[in-house]
Amino acid sequence: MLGKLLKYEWRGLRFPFLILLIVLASTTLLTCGVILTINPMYDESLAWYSVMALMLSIFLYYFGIIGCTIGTSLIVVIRFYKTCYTDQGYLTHTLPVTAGQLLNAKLIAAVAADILMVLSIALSLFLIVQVGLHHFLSFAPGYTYEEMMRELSQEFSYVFGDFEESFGISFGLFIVYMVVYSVIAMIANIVTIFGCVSLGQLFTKHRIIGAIIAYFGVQFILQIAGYFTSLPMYTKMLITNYDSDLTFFGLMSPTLNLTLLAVTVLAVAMYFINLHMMTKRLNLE
Amino acid sequence: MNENNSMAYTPNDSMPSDSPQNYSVYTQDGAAQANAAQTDMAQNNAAQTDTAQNNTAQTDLVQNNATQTDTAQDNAPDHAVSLQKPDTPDRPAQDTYPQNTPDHEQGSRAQNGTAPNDQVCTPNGNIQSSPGADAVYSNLPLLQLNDLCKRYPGMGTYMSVFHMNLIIPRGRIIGLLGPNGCGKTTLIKMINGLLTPTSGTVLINGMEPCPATKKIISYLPERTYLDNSMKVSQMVSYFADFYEDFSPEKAYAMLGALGISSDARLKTLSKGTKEKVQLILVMSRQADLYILDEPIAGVDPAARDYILRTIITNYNPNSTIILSTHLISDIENVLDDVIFMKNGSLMLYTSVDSIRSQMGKSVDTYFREVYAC
Repeated sequence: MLGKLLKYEWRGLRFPFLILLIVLASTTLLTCGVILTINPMYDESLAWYSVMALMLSIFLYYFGIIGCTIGTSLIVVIRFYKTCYTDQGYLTHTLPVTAGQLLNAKLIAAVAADILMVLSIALSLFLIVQVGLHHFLSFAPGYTYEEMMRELSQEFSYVFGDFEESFGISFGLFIVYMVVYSVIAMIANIVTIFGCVSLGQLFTKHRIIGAIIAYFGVQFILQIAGYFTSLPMYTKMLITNYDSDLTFFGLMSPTLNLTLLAVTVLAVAMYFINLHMMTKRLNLE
Repeated sequence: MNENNSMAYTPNDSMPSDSPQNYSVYTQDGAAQANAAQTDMAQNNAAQTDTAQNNTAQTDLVQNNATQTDTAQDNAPDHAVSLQKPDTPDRPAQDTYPQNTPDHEQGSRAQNGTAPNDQVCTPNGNIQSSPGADAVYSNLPLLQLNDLCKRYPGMGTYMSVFHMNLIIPRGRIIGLLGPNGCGKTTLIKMINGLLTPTSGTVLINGMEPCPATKKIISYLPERTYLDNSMKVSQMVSYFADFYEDFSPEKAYAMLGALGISSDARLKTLSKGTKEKVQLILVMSRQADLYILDEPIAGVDPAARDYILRTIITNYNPNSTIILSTHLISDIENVLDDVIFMKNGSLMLYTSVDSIRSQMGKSVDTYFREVYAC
């Protein structure tokens, strides 16, 4: 049943998600277009325009990706609310599936949508960088793309060679750590939002406002928890000399680990709150 | 099974002679009152008094006028005659039910263990009201409500469903009737697990609402629950994917008969057509229990006949259909039993034939009298 639920969950998400991808693609193309109009050679008559175009492209792209990221969360949450707690909930909750299957399907589809959006943004960023590089290189005759990439890789190997020494963790491990951290944080965020939507159902009226209040409540608790998880970092900063052997990761890792733990605990709690709300406290209007 | 001290109901084939003495009425301001206490209860509860008086009046009417049966038949609408539900070999005709012998039956149930509590009240004692079905299925009632209550937050002490006890057997078409706000939809939603009871239990085949019970219940809510962005054919696939007992062939045949294109998107359809699509999807299942909440309210009179025919045509003799509606005259000829609700309480659970033969009225007429404002 989970497979079937996933199929229909994805079907429900794909159209609004496609719109977001179109928005991202349009933003990317527009940004590339603006970049192509920039003249990197100093020209007094065009200098103002070039600066403005560069700023515009950065703003355009920034708001484009922020919009797409928030948009992905929104479509996922709206679908969750719509299919679970509006008229469609009458069908959803009378399907011969468990609440766990329902929640898992929605969670997996939401995480998949988020990951796809992150990958799409990465691809878009890659395209913009490529366009920018090729465009700027066109103004430097004799300096080829291959030469530039060779120089860049040398620079990177130089920086990353010292990475472990500077940061206290190898570059590869740091990337793995950050990916795992991001994925867990992403899942936790989705479960938390779903949980808040479900908690909003405890309100007799204005259940959406109730969900928003629940979300701010949870965020407040997270902030308090964040304060306590930061204590190890501040303590280390106070009792150790900055010039000592303490590395960046050595300083940050206890806080990062505690934050990850707090987020994971919250996510697990919200998951079970969700299940409880969908089984023991379900009260469709 | 019913393990509390409350009363459960099964259909009563000789209701009028019991009314109001032999069935219990529950009030919002106290515990369930037994039969003998009905008079006192009626005096103490204005909401129930009218009903009790009406029922007493009906009993007298039956005793004084044995010829009212014909009148009752005449009262039924002519257009509904063609919708008469045939008796099937698996489903005994009404007059084959045992007569009302509550004391005897209570004793026998206590002995055979199907009703552990001797206060379980079955006016006709007909706990095994579908003997043919019982041979196939277990002894568990298809649907059992035990002291079921529902109080909505913000409504003070008022209970939308108040200490309701009920046993629904297999193989019946039951009308769930009552005025607006009497708790019909709340009750239906609790049976489907869409509302959590404040207290009491709902048992379907002996289980509380869960995926296993949802497999055997086909539910039509009073609102449109389909995804408007989907096509009709996609909804058919959706039902086929999730319900093993769903027949796409049957669904497409009915869609064709009603001239509904399977390629149409639901958002392009009118409200009435959407309701037809929903009903088709629900009736294309081979469920044990169909719960139809206002299935004909939003459709034109011409389509009502088709819908009722659809319900009867697709009716499985081992299944039970619970039909909630205000349009009693349209459906009363297809009903076996009726449940009357008032103020969240069960007023009456009896057979349609009983009302006709012993009350001398059609269900519609009787309803109007009982719920007269």
